[in-house]
Amino acid sequence: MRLSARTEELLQVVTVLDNRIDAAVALEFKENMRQITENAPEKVLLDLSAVVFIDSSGLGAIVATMKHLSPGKTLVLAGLNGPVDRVFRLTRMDSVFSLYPTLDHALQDQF
Amino acid sequence: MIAHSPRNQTDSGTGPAQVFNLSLGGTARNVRDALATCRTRLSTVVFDQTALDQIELVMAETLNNIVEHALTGQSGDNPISMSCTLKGDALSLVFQDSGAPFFGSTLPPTAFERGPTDPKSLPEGGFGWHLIHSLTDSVSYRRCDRLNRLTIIMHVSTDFDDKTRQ
Repeated sequence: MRLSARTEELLQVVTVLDNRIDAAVALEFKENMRQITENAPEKVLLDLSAVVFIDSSGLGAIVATMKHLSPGKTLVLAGLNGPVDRVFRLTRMDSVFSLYPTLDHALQDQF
Repeated sequence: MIAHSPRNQTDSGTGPAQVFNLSLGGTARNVRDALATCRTRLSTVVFDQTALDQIELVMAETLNNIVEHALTGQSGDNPISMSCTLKGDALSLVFQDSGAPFFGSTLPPTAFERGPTDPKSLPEGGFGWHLIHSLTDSVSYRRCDRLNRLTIIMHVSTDFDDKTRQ
């Protein structure tokens, strides 16, 4: 499960480089996210634009990531492709997370 | 993963056409590989990408459920078999495994209720069955001869012209 991260002053952008977050990698994703966001600023933006498939295990791993962030820190999701967006809406997680169609949309909205 | 030869077509061409029939091992990696194979086969009869995405998700959730619950702690070669047939616009997916039965031999409840909650208390699982039920027309389960047999029906458009005109 490959991730890349860059941190600006008040924002960390974590980009998923693989195209699936499924049961085969969900635990690894969760653990990598936990490590990568350990010293994150108050906003973490997860860029999912490379991801074309997510299942409920992957969704659970993203929920776990959000729950693990320290109080006061938020996880924002960007670059949701159709199949990923659908899973968030069908499980009503679109009411829990801020979802943006692209990274640019998300970045514009943060400042 | 083992792909089985297509079984003989039923007489007079009115029976369901087989899209795939394969068996696989009970790991998440096996599931990923099987999904890729199935999607390739399905793409010869279903031309709408959204429909293919939905079928793939339903197969993934069903197979993950078998791997994580029915087959926990069990080994053996290719304990899951999966077949797919199409008749008209009715896509039928049949999953069979030799694992533990559903508790009480019935399907888990389909209710998915979540009141206003603190995001930090959200569940991290339990979404799978909800997704399956949201995307399918019927799900039925039978325990027979120490096998679990789950049949899922989804109605899909197979009209190539319809989709290319959109």
